[in-house]
Amino acid sequence: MPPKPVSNRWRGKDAIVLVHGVGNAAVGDYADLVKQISDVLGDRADKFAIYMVYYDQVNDWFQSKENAKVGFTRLVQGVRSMVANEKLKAKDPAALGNVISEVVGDVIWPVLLADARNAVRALLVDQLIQVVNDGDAAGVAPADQRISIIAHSMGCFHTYEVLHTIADDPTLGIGPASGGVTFANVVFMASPVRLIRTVAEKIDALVPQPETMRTLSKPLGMPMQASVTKSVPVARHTVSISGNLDPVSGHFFRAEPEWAYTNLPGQEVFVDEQQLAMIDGSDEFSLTEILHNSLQKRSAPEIQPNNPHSWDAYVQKHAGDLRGWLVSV
Amino acid sequence: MKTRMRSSIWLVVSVLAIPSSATLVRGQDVTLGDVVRALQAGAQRGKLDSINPAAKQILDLAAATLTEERVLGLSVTNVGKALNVNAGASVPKISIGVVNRNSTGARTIAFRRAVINLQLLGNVEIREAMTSAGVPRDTITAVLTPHRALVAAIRTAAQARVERALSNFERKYGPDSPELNFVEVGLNYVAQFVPLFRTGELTGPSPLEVVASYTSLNVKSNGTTKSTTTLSTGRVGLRYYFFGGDWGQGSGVAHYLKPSNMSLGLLAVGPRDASLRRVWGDGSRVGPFFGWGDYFVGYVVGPNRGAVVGTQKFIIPRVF
Repeated sequence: MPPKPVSNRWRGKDAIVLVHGVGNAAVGDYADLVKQISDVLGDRADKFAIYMVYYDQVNDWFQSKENAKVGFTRLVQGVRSMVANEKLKAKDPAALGNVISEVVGDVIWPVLLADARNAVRALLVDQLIQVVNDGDAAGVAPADQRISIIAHSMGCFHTYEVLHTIADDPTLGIGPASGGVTFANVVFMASPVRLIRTVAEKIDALVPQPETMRTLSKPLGMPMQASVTKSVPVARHTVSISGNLDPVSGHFFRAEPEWAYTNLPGQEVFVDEQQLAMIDGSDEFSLTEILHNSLQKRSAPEIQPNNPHSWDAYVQKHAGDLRGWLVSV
Repeated sequence: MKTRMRSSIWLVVSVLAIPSSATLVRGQDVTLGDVVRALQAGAQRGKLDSINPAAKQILDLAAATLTEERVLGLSVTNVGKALNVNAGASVPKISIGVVNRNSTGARTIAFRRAVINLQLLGNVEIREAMTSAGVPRDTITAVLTPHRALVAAIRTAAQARVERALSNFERKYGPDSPELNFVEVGLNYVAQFVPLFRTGELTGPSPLEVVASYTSLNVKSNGTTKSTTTLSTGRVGLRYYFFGGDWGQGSGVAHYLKPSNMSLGLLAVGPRDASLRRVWGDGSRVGPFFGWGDYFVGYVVGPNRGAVVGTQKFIIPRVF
């Protein structure tokens, strides 16, 4: 059976849609993150309908059918070597080549297979329609609904694409002009959209149906939907949160190359200062403090590696900001 | 003065004519005519003709397009469905026209454009005009109630369309779909660039798939010796997926009677009837084949002609 959209009961006018990144997320895997978001909302949490979109089942269809691990990977490898063989004309081709090697396996899938791209898009659109329908069923008119989307990693790419689809296709009825729905917040965490555009541009001859991939076919930017005499924005507030050690977000050892970082016009920008490790439970430290603490405790400092791409770490770090946006914007 | 009074009376009549919200719960009770009248009432309340004359003109054009009694009597549920038949990203900008009397639904371009304009006007220009004219929010909501029903019906139809697309994706790519071998993966990647194989953005995949397989679970009749033998075959052709309905959904006998796909093309066998041999090159024999779900039948001509029956399943996954 194809996946069915989740239906939740609305208790207020607010809903949050969470869109995860790459991985093998099964339904329920992000329960901790949902709880984390609830904690962020505090006493207002019960007024929010929270939806977690799981789309890995759809990715799995393609991996299985196309024999991703063996057959398609060969194709990907071919693309990789072609890209690496200096067909790149970026400012920093060596760095780009490395990055492509790292992330190409994850991002190439929706780039090279139009059906994979469109199937995930259909699933997300289905879920967003359900969110609006749930609100409508609870007596909240679409124009009064406050729906926020928080996406991470590849989820940012799919969200970005879906928002453009919603704007381009009025018969979906969930755009600001076509449905009266304006998303209150769209929060991109570690967005690879620009990186994907760069990769796709380099292999554009290999990208099927590029016009259906807005990341490639249009200038980067949050979409507007055209009504009969004016255009209206799909989202009221767009935020980009990234980390300066998170390569998926377009940062390489604290550098932010233009070809990798997703810089959407008008978005509110946060670039987190990240550390490769936590020392004694903190990622903010100086050598003096470390020595001082070690001498005090008479033990070596406890060092734990950090995952700069961690979704829950981004949420934790911006808990206060998130609450502010979700509750008041 | 007389004109203004007539307009006011018309406005009151229009608003009174709007069905109650209880009726509107059932989308089929709201008609396109209700929507047109509600938007005209809203436009008048918001003084759209002075605030945004271009929008008022487009509203008038849409109303002029939708004048037939039969069209105005369409339920918004049916309008939503009509709009979502083969809906795509772009709708040609035709603002006026006459709905084709011979059309079975209301699928003409002019109709689509007019309904979409009504949809957009109610959410943006007319709502904004009423707000800027100081019309209370509750009144705006009440006046635009039929429009909300129209948008809800469009959304519902869109959801059905998108779920149909997802179901088709699952039929073509899901766990029960035929596996592809390495060659087929490559050929089907290339096929994406051929219009016939293009996927619709939100209407689902192409029902076609390239078949280029080598399988060994086959039996061939021998026309000369009246015996049968097992052999390997190569097949090149097209697979067609049956979308919609319950094709490929059943188990047991139904699985064989109504599979998810059929295929057609050319079958090749080697110079000798034998398994795990090459099927191309000098001496190979060819003929047509027809596949139905997991199985196929074919007929090879030339020396030692005969019928071939086989399965499309691989002995070694992805290989043959």
